Amino acid sequence: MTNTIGDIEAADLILVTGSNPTENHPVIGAAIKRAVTHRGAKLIVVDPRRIELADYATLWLSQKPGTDVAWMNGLMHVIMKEGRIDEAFIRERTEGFAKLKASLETYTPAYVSAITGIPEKQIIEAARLFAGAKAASVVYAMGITQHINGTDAVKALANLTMLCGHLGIPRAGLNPLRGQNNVQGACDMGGLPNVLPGYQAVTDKIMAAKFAEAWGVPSLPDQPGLTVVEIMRAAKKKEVRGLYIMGENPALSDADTNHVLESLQSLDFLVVQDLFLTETARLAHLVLPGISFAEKEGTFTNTERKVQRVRQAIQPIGKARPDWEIISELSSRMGYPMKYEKAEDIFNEMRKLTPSYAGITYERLEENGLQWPCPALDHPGTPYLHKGKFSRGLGKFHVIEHTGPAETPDAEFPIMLTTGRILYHYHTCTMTGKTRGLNELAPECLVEICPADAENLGIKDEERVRVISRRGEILAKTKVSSRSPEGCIFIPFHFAEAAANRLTHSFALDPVSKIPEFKVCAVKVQKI
Amino acid sequence: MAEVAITLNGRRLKGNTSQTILEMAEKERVFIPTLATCHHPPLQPQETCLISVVKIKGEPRPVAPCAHLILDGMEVETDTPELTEIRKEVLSLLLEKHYGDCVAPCYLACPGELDVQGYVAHIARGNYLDALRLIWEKLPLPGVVGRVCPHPCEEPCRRTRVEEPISIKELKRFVADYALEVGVKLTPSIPPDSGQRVAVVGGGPAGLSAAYYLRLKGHHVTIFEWRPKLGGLLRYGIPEYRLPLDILDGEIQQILDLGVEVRTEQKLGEDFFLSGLRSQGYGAIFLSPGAWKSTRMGVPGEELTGVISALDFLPQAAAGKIQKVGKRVAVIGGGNAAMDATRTSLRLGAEEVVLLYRRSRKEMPANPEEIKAIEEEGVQLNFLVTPTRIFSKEGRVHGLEYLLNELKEADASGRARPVPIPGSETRIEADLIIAAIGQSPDVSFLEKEKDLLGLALSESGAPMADSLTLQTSLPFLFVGGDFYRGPQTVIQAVADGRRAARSIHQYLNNQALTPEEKPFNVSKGKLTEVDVSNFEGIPTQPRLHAPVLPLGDRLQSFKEVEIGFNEAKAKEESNRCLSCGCLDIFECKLKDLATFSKVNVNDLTLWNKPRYPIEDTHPFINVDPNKCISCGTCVYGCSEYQIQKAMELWEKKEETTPPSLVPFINDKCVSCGWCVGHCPTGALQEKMEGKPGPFQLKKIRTTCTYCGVGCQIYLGVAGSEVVRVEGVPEAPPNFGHLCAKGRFGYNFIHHPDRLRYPLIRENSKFREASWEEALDLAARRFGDIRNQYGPQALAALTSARVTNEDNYLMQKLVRAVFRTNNIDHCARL
Repeated sequence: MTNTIGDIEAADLILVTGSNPTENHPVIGAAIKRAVTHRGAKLIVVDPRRIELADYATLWLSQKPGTDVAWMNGLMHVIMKEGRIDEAFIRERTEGFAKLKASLETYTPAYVSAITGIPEKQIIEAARLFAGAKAASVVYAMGITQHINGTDAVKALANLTMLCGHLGIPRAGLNPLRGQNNVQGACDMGGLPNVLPGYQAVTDKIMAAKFAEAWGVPSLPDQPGLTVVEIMRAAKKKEVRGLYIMGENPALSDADTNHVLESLQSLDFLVVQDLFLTETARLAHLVLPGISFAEKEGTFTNTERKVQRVRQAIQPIGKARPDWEIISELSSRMGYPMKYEKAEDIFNEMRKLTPSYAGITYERLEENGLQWPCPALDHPGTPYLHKGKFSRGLGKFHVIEHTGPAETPDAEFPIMLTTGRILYHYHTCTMTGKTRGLNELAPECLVEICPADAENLGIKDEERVRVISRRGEILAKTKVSSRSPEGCIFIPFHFAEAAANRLTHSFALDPVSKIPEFKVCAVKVQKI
Repeated sequence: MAEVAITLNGRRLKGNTSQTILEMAEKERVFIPTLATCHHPPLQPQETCLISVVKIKGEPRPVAPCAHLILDGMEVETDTPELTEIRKEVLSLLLEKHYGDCVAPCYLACPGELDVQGYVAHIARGNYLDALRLIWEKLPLPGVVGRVCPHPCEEPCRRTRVEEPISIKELKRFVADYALEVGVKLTPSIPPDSGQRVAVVGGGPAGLSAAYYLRLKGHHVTIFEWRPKLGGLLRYGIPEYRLPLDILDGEIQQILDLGVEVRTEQKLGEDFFLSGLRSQGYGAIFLSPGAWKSTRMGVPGEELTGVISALDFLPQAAAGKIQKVGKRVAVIGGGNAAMDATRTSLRLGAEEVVLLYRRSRKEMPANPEEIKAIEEEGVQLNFLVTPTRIFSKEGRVHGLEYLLNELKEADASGRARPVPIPGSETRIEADLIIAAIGQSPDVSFLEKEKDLLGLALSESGAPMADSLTLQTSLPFLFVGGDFYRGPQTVIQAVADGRRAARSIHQYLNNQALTPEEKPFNVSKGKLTEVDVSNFEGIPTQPRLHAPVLPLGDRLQSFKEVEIGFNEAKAKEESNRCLSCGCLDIFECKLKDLATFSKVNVNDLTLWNKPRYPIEDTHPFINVDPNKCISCGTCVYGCSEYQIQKAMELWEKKEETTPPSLVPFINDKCVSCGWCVGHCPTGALQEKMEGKPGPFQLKKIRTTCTYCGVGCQIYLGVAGSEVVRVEGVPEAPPNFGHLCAKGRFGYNFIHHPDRLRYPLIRENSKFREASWEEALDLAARRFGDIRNQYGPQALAALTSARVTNEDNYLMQKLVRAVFRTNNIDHCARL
């Protein structure tokens, strides 16, 4: 997030798209509802489904899945045409405006309406509201990024935000909501194939040398490695033979799980470190018991870049050991001794090598967290980014064109499937599935289908149906609800018994982020 | 926002006009009682709790401090008689529609104030050491008391109304024995030496307890004991078949291991004097030498050889000085000492033991278990008799004569008064007569004390003391145990030791002596009076009894007779507990305010039965309308903070009483937990898997493990288990607010499915492995693959769920040791 979570509640206008905060980030969902109810903030929701926030929205735009760039460009087209742009911001802080302007010519309300299914009037109205707000906060999540053009859509959102000057100021900004507690931190720490901690490129020789020296090794590999999906493909081809998985369950969470299962089974040696014998761990040659957050010391970095402490409340369960300790032990046995007394020692090593974390210490985190960048011990942290200047200098407008999703409905698979989460479960249920009350509230996978589609198929509420895609099929009960639009069903991916990711595909990825298109694929629904 | 000066309780203070009186007071640490949390930002104060009142000079009526901003020159009083009266009145009104048991009757009945419901719940959850730790907070002799306690806690046990009370004593014993069995010793941490020395005179349960709790405060303790070994009555009064010496020695040693100095065979009034202890540098003295003076029968022949008091007989038997008794033994008395004398005699070779008691069985003060045991072991019980004469043969006792009694109206002790029937003389023969008819403190040492001027004494000649602080009229001298109270229970002596330690600590620190406050308490009534509806639908499950040694194995030795529960029995029995005490007792604002405002429960007219059923259909929250005080906090928070409108108050009209409001959770609820977290009473209670305690939670601040918001939470830890999650009210980003997952989805932490040891796959099955083996295997296989196929044949997935430190180390391993950049995580999902 460029801004803080608190800023969302204080914004004059909130644009929520590809995010369902009341279910996936409920504390933020409630904050948005309060902003509308108590402060009269305007709310624009752009989502194919009529999510709960739509009830609070000034405007709800229901686009066809996979058409995000089109509506974003459409809004910009109107803003431009009506002269509602922030000229001073564009002049002083950005570049590439002329090219963008030219590229938006074609995205007239009529054209955009035809692609997205959003009425022209709503496009115009949304554009006016967004441009007219003093401080608008854009809130988005996986609904934007989990497409083959997810990176493009994010850039288009950035264009829209810069066009109206809603960046680099409080109460505004471009605010992705991270789905997991430490996604931000895992990326910050270099848990990515192309960057070292602090997003320092592995190909940058000076950086690589800095880390090699600090770690006491002659050199570090300087070519980017493989992403998750690429690792799975390589495993199937026997190019990757040994895999160490810590705290993830790709056998259930990754797209096209049948493919993932084959890949994992092809490995010569699979080590899985987790809390439970997950679907993935069952395939391992060696399973190592890690510890839960309640047994740990350390830090998480949240969606607003805030580094916060994790503190140990109880002793490790059974013989389970801290994850870092297991890694150190393994490393030492592989001939590279790692000697740390406690988690804090690791943090201190990391911050010396990671400029954005350099000023953060456990001591400073004692009361509350600190938001990076925090380059020095006397630096107060950075609540909002891009104040006065972007990190690259001028903010760049990218020309982005609409492209459709990789797989669209056809005669054989006539319905669009979009996946996501529900309030009462988290990811693959390895944690939430252990709480009886949560299972009572959401005991099983429900296929959300709109009344019209259900009627066409002759399906009733809570009837078991078969959902089939080109990759696989699942059986689940229906939930007939007008939240889903016509021609589109929604399935949560939490449940192993009806794993939605048996249906999704990974044959086409976003070219930059390598994210599969979890949010769109084509399926058919059959009565059993 | 302007700076202003106000006067708060006479203090001139500076503030600004954006502050409410309540905020100002909180900042200045002036406590203003308030019930609701309706002023929690961004909510607006509702002024509905009526308890939160202050007086502003010039205003005709008291005002709500949460709703009034401070103004320049304002003079505010928070604590006037008028305000106290208002608060008391409002609280009384609220409390009269509050039906429940704040704390369980077992807790109220225990002289040691043990949190019975808490430790029984720990046992039911399988957390035996947590139960033991909780017991140790009030009782450092659990194995002893778990064996010998007459368990007054079991008497009022509400389960009796279903069938029988819980075997609380046996459960206590079980956890003490469990710790022994698994070899765990609880070692409390001792603060640095305080530099203060305390003398404890008498090494019985009271003295040992005082020594323990004084050591916990860092004071140096010396125990002076006149016998060769510590334990007092526990060692020299209670026979080994009831309390094995290794149990007693073990628990005494655990106390001594904290660094207690012991001087045995030091007799007060002979080897040392209280006044001398003062000059030796002891800042305070705890006097607990017990009650070792026997009451005499006052009959002819009492001085004969072969007549002995239980208080002489039992110690001599315990010390091995009496190894054999004659064929026929008569024991006089009906208390536990008499029981011990009979059973000890049987074990020392008596062929016939007769117990003589002046009242009937019903009035016997001994534990019912003990009476049952002497009967089983073959003691004859002779009720309604008064010995009148002991006769002899050849200078030795040969028998006694007694009169039969009839019982008349109750005497001062509340028991029926025995009156001898003239002409009913009866004779029996006996070789040994043991008198166990009473005991009292031996105060003869006081005559030899010099400088104890001003020590106030009671009629019996024992020092008088404040019954709560146990301080005598000499400020440095504290008393407790049987010496102070006359013969009482071990748990009472332990409680005295603990209370005296608290007082002594305060005295040594020149603080005012404040005994532990008795909190305000409402009750559903006495055992027999509790409304029957409270027990409807509870399936019966009979009380479990500990097994005992077969009769045939008992009398040849002093082997322990009661065997104790095994784990399965302890768990089963603990699950019979009805958890009577309110589950919100540790966070009840209503109780705290009633205590603060000194509301007297006897002035209130409480409901005598519940008016509404408890609603338990919500997955996480129980609604008990009988405890609702209609403050509206839940409704307000749900509609204004969570914006959910899932909480309602329904007006219930009744014929006889004014209408009351009853909370109801509708189907819009998203289980954020705001309402249950803010309910000032137990009207909304959080459900807990297993026996719910309640437990005094240790709260550890951390960050939620679910989505990326990073909510700040407290993990509520009961013993060694996380049993609750709460938001941190004052911290961003969530300011106390949570969602269903973060708030209630914590059961995975202790779930039985958690991996507890490494697993290696062999022939498509997993087997348990040691860490050594597991790590060696991983290192070897990864190393082999790297060496054979090159670094690119290795890869790792790190995690968006583990910490930064874990992630950093994982990528370091992959880059520096695997020597590849094949590392990623599922963040894109």
